[in-house]
Amino acid sequence: MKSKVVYSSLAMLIIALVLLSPVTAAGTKEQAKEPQFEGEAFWTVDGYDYDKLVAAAQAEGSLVARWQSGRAPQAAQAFEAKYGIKTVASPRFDDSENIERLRREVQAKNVQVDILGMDDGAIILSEFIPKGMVVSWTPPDLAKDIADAEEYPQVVYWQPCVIGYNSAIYSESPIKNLWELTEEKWRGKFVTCDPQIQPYMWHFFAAVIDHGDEFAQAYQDLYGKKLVTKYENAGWEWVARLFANNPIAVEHDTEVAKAIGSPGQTNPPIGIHTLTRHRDAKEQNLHLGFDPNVKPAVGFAMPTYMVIPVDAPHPNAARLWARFLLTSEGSFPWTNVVGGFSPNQTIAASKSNPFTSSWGEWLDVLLMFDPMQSAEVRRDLIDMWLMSQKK
Amino acid sequence: MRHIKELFAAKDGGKTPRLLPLRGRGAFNPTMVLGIVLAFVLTYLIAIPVFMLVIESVQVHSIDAGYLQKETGSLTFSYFKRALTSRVSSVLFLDPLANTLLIATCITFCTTIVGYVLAWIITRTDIRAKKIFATLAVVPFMLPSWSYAAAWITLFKNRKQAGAPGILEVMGFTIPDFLAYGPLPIIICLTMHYFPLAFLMFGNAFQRIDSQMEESAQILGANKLQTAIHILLPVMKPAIMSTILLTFARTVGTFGTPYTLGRPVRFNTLSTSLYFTYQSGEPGVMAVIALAMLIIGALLVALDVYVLREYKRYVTMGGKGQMSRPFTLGPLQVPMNLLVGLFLFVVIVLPLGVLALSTFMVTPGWFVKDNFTLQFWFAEETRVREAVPGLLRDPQLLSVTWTSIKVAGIGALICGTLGTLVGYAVVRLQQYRLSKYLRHLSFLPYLVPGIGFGAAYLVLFATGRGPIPALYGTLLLMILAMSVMYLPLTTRSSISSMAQMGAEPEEAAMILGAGWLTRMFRIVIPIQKRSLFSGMLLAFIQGMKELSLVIMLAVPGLEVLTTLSIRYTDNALMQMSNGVILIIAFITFLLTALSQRLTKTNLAQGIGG
Repeated sequence: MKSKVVYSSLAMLIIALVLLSPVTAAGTKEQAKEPQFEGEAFWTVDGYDYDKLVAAAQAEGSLVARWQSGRAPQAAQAFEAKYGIKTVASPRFDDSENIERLRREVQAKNVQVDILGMDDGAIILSEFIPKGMVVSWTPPDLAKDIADAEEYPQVVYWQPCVIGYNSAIYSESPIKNLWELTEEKWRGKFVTCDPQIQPYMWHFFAAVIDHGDEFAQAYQDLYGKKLVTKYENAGWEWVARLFANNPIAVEHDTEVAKAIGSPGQTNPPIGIHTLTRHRDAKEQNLHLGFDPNVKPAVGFAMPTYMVIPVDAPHPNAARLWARFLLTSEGSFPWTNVVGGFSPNQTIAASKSNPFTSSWGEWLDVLLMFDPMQSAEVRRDLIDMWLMSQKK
Repeated sequence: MRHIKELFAAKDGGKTPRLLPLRGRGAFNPTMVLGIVLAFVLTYLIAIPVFMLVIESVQVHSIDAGYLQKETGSLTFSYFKRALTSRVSSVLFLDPLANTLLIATCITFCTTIVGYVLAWIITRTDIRAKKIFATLAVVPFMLPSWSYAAAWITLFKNRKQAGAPGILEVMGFTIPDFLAYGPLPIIICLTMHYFPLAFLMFGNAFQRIDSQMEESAQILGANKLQTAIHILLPVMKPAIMSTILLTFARTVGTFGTPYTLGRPVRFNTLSTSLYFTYQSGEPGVMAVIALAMLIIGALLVALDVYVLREYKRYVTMGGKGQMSRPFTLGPLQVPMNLLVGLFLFVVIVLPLGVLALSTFMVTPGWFVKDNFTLQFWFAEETRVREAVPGLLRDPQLLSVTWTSIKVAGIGALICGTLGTLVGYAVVRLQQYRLSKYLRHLSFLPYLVPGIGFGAAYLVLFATGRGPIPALYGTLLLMILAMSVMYLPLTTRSSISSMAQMGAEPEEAAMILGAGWLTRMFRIVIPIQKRSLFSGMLLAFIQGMKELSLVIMLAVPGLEVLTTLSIRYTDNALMQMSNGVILIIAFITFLLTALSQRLTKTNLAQGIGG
């Protein structure tokens, strides 16, 4: 009896191993039944043909998008209505989920998504594109209206992220210079999204490091002396001092807005949040204000990118969707409300935006970051953050 | 006292518990076939995904390939170094480990005591309204675990965390930090949430104890305390061990509550640290943390094996009749009723009330007339956010609810069937290694973090492998993952009740010529149906609340209630998120009550009546 058990478990192990190896590796991925229009380069700059793209997309018949924003289904409805392509745009896919799923799907050679909307440009540039997992595509007919820097990877919309204050308590910004945030006065009174939960915040700190010279200048302006730092530059020094100044880390930027703007406070904190929070400030009875003249910048410009998996089941529909989102119709769910801006310069943003509805003017007061540089400093930033979390 | 124990031990466990034909004839043994088939299935569904997870901790991930200057997939120990010996290891791993062990120990201790006492009062004494109490005692388990934390924060939040303070601070109390955040509230909240698990385990075990055993002891001169210690406690040992094991493992993996209550004071546990590493893109370190959780679980299992190595001794259900006579409370009856009632009020009505109240307020906790509203439930378009309809006006709600019920329901059925079979095979094949293999393997899913399990399933089922088709992207995979994830619940309850059921009833049938299938359907399943049913209900209830597993496997366009709730949370619509929690609790409760009525073997009545 005992040997029987041994034999059967041996047999079991062998069968399990056989099952594990993808026996039908090549044949399992079902090829799309629709014509692929191979060889016809109507996506490329030279051979671009909008009508053929539409025809090919309609032949594919459906589209699956995973999007970081909750407004994607609205755009999907409009897209479906216009082109008759059945569209499922799953909203609120946060980046970690989107990234992990794509990695696993590529690993298993079973990609189930046609296009991703995500914030983490660092991953796109350092992993997804170099490994041939995704491509970034700019509609050739719209390229002239989009700045080159915003095409790789292709930005789908911008959001300003601003450092704001409680406008009921303070008639003007209580800080004029970001270095003030590292002073004792603001100890434990700077609210930010926890970058470990909202990784896009790393981009802000990376942008600060990238603009070290401006921070050095701002330091000199404020204190009248040159900054001496053991770090690489003034940007690192600012980040280190900010982390050491016991910032409050919350889950989501709606909480930042509440922490800053809730009524009835006597000594409200300062915090960084997306401009979108100004949209619902009135209904939620929040008093939010910001001063675009804060030195060296009032915040940073946060892009959302779109990329198309190389093995997307519906590559043409994905491109048509990408193009659609860069037109006024497709970008409507984002650009008709406060806080959203299209990289397509011909699309006007909502007039109810505070400060200005011109994206060009926003860029003057915000820090821009470089996704590659952000990827490079990410690990050291994480460590610095973790060290500051020690009790 | 020893004699009595030995008397019973000799009666049932003293002789070999093997079924007669296992020896001698031996040529074809259906139980052995069953065991082998189960071993195959579980190896594929559990061992391989877990193995894949372990591999992740020593393999270079593509995101780190550049930084580590190594090929993706090559061997590395840098993730272990980072977690164990780097300058950030105390934040990433060591402190969370200590915190996890601390809260898991406290919570296990508290839930075991609360569950044991409550189960004893309700099953073994003549307290009134047993049925109602027993039904109510399960309710806390039907709420998503973080709902207690949500209610706690609404009440106790102090001004340390920026923003609006909690209700008590508004009323003028000053809440110290240790009461608002950190280990104490986490332990309290999770005890309130997990005690029903202990209650059900103990209730079922008490139910099967023949009170003749206690009476014999008393006839032989033992007093009540001695009876409790020397008769009841040893007999309850399998159930106690199961409870400790399940609760401890569950609290090691629990995420929502430590996240909500611990994060503001930087009190991290392994699960929250796991989440942070997942979010900030450190899959290697994440795998190390997951591995640590697995090892804690493995140690628990080893402890379980050590303590229960003689569990066959405590067979309580022999071939003879059994009876149960309640313990008379006498003058204590009324106060005891009040006490149990008060306890259940505090753990059910209070938190649910706080949550419910919040769905009717624009700013929760601010008691001003204008602040009350019905919009989150009924508005065609809520005022606080454009294009968001009230919960009950959401056209999605019905289909989402249906998907949830389908996934959790079918998952629970599969889980229950599989669990009973595993339990049967484990107990009946006790003398073989196979039994141990099945027993330990079927417990593993309980120790694997949902996110990691989901990720492994995605890879495993994304392509067709041999006869197994590609299931990724179908509802079926979610159902399958769910039924495996909760297998420990059904196997544990099945094992502990099978262990108490001696071989006698089956042997009697065998002598009368009943075949294996007949015995299974006419004897084993009917006797086991109570525990089978409660195991399945637990799986169903868990399935309705499951989030982390679903996040990796959910099919685009097919959401479940929990993802809907998180969608609202992410959009800062706490009221609607709380509303969904209430809907989950309501539906779970309704379906539980309904299925109990239909099957007539309900777990509440089983324990209460």
